[in-house]
Amino acid sequence: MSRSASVELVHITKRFSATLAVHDLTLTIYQGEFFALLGPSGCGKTTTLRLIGGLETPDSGEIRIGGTAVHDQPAYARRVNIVFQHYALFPHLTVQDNIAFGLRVKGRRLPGAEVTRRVKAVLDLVQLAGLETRRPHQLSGGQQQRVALARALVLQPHVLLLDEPLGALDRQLRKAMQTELRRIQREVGMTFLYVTHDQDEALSMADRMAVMRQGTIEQLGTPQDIFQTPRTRFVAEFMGAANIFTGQVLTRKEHTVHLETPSGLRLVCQCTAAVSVGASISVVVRPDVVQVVPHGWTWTGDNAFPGRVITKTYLGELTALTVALAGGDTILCHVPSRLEQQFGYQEATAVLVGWQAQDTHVLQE
Amino acid sequence: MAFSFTPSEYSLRWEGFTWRWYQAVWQNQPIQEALLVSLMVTIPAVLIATAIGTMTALALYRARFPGKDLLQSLLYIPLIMPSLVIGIALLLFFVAINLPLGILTIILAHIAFSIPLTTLVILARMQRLDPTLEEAAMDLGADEWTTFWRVTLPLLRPGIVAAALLAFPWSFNDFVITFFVAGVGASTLPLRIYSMIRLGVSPMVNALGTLIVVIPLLVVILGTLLTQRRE
Repeated sequence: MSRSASVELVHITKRFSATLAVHDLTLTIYQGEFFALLGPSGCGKTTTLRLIGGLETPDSGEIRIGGTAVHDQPAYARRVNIVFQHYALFPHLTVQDNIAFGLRVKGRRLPGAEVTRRVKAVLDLVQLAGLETRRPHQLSGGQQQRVALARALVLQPHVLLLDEPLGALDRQLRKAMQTELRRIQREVGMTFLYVTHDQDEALSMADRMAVMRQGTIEQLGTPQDIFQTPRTRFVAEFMGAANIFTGQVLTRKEHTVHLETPSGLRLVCQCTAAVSVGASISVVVRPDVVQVVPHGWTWTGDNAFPGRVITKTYLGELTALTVALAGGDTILCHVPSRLEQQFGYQEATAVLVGWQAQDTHVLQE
Repeated sequence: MAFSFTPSEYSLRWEGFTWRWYQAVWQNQPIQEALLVSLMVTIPAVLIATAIGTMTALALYRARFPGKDLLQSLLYIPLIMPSLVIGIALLLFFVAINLPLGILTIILAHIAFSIPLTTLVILARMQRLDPTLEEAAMDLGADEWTTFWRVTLPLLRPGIVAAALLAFPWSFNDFVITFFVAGVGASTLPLRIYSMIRLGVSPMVNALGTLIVVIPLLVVILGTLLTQRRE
């Protein structure tokens, strides 16, 4: 890879008394990339961010920022800045003074005119011009969020660390801010490390992302990689792919594998990994790849099973159907609502569900 | 209080309104001296106790050291222990270290019994402080010292002011402890009043009693108004 590294974590371990927060984590984030760290609460993602920011000290391992080891640098000497989850704006200072805080501290004391110029520029960037004299409590949640962002951006850090910055905003605003953050990141070309537990946020914003679990990285890749080909059961479930089948390999021909579940389902799937006949493997089928057609239709795809609709949930664009298959398995299908309405499925309607072998991914357990 | 405004000298009957007794208080030299002593004691005692209280609260909140829990529970003892015991203990202490009794010992005693009050008030404020604000300051490039002056202290200011406002009447009105450590020369206002009522309750004492309630009250109200305007 020709891009230069912005943040490198090498075998980082951090323990809090009894709990292992980060366990032997190695990760490289490249210059100018929007990187998302995704995981459930308690997986160590926020600790990782605080370790980079210098608010925690690793028990072992090395952190490099812009190629320099930083483990002996305190937080205030590192060229990284954090946008905190609850913004952590200084309540006794105005917007102007909050943003200028970092420009006025010792060692960086800039002339007054320069401070004013930079604050104005960054306020324009986050579209908050005109609110300079307000106090944080006079601002809406979205505006506070932008001030927190501006306060960190104005110092032109090597890396901007964002700790679930949109968590406290309502859904509409969150969507708008996602686009906004992406725009700002492109505009300034800075490395963003974005910590979140919301997979949609990670998928829609990140260039690359990592799914974390129990202090280690479970999978690293582009959003497409992780969404379409989850490597483990954990990643598959976390990314919302609910259909996981476990069975024994019956035959294998090139990349095509046939397996049979204990309940008697015979599945065809594609697999590039080395699996031997007789081995037990798990496969994942995402709800959006499963097609549902009325009973009696013919299906020419690789996997097709008759079943009955158990539940139907309208989600807007999509409708979620749970279908019980003959052997007792259930499968979740997301079908376009318009299509579903044409067929008019009801609970207990007999249907045929099907999907392609290439949409059936083998998990490494 | 009402009788401090009536001209009658001995009876407990209302005989019309007058400021006479206040004028008498104002012109009474021993009372003037006592008031001066009281202010000379209370003002430095409150300032020093508030400063020490801030530092103690910071240490209790931030640092981890052996005996920290013990120290924190010890803070409550002077607040619940009878003043009499504290007064005698302080007296014995001053005598033991050969410190002549006078204004200095009164000030020291007042500082000593005000520190627990100021510390606990400031500590309560500190515990409601969001620790991420200090982290944010450090993250933005402020070292520990700058963080303290630019973030921690301004955020603690309401607590510090409240502590001083509470300590003021606490110190100004104290009688029992002062009584033990005052010695012969120095007499604060409450001590002076006590020696006056031994000679019978004159309306002047009524007037003084009213003043001693109203002055600290005004200080507290004024202080509260000032802090509210700032916020």
